[in-house]
Amino acid sequence: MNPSKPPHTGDATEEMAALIETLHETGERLEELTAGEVDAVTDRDGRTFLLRHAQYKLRQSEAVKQAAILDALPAHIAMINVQGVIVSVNESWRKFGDANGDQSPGHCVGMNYLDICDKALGPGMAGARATAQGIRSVLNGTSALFSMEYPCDSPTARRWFLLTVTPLADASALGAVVMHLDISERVRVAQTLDDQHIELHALFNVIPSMVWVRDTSNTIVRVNQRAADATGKTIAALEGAALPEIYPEDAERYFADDLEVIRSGTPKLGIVETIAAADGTELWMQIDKVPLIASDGTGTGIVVVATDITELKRAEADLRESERRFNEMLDQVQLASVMLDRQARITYCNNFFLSLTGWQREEVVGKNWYEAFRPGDIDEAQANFEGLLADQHACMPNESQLITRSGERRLIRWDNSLLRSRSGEAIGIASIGEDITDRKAAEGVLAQRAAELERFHLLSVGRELRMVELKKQLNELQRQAGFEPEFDLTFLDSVPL
Amino acid sequence: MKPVSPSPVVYNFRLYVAGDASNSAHALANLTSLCRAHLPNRHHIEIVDVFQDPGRALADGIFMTPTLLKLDPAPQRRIVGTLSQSLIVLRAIGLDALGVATP
Repeated sequence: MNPSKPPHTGDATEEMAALIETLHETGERLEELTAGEVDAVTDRDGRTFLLRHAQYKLRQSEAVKQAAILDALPAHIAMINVQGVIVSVNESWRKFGDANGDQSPGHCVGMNYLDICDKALGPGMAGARATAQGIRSVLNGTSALFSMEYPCDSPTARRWFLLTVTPLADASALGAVVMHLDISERVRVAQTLDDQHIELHALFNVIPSMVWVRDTSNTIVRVNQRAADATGKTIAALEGAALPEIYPEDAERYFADDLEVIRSGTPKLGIVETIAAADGTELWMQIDKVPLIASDGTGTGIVVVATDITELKRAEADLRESERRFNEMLDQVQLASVMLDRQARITYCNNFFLSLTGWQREEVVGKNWYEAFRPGDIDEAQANFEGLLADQHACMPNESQLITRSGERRLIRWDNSLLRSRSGEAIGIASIGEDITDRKAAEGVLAQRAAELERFHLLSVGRELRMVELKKQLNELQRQAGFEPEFDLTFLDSVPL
Repeated sequence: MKPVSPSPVVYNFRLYVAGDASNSAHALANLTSLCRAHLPNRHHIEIVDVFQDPGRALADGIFMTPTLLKLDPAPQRRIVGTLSQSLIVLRAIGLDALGVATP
């Protein structure tokens, strides 16, 4: 209260009424004089007064601007007063109501939001009660913000909304803004991501390899269960740990290799090396490294897939040993072993074959069998080879000649086996051959000698038989002549003829 | 030797407004439109808000807003209102209907 001015009395009320009347008249007169074109007037002291109609238009203009902003928002917005009565709603609210069968007059304007929530029944009752509680906390100043996500399905689709309640301006006593934002798409995307995460997690842990994801600072970002089992640690203990903590001796080497892959942007596949398992045993691993590249092209990390190939390595070693023993056996029993592909090119031969033919291995492998060893009958021989490939029953033992490096012809007796791929397709021939050259030659000599003996036998025995016949005839003639037979042929009685 | 055309005359205006009040907003819009149409690239508009700078209005003797003050070229002219009647405004600032300066 200004101490220089006397306190108001009943006369003051009359004076105020008169001044107010004067103020109105002055304003109206100014409007008339300026034809409504003037917003404000300024006195000689620089004090500016906004004329009444300008004030009205200003308020209207502000209200239109605010309504335009609210109507442009996709959220459904209602403004409520301090008692919870809905005083205005935006266009999205009205449209949503129309689309969902809202028959309330004025799209709920004038209705009490809190009463609606308090009286809600059915499946949404708990949510409505929570909403009412949240609105009240904002209106009474207890909370500066209330928010809640809730489902609200339509007859044809699942929907989710985010409800937020904020005080109007800075003072909750003026009311609050209640906003419902459709977050269905976000929820669906989040659920899809969750489902994909579950699938990836299952895939991540079911594949029979160790999987490590590391970043550019050599920190383990993610591992699967197999990788964790190999280290004897849990996934939780590994994820976030620095690699040197897990592999102190090898981490630096791994990291250098990782960085090389990340910087090059090119996967490095098929690395084979040994590692120590948790129990100290040596494991053979095939390691594949794939860089992780962000959308802007920068390397962000690496995925390392390590597959235990210890059993495979052992099987390979066993196979090599088996092959070695087989070849050793073939060499010791002096049998030739040759393998041909579909084009009759030599893919394998053993040492005995090389010593038999006089060639070196590198001179033989890859060459066409028929061109190298059977040039004389190459066309017929190749036709036979095609027949062998087409019909496994044609792989009967057979004998054929081959020409050695020195030009000598050796006769080989071959036992052939058809080689097939996993799909059953014929891919070549495997043959074991016995050098029967000398044996055949010996058989030839033997046969010749037997023939000679036969001729001699025929000659010798034949002459004797003719002599016996002659003696018989002479004895008969002498008998007929009355003489005693001259020749003693009694031995014939004991000889089977 | 060819004659050199004189440099175009630049019109300087000062518009006094009362914040975002309706008539003030209309005055600014009308002035801007008029200058673009008739004084392209040869006008300059200064805005003075009497609520933010009441001293300027007082010093310039302005007691009603919106008021347009033509500072250049001489003579100075003062126009009160929304400037919605463009022909009257053009005549007041010394231009004809085609935007040509009148003597």
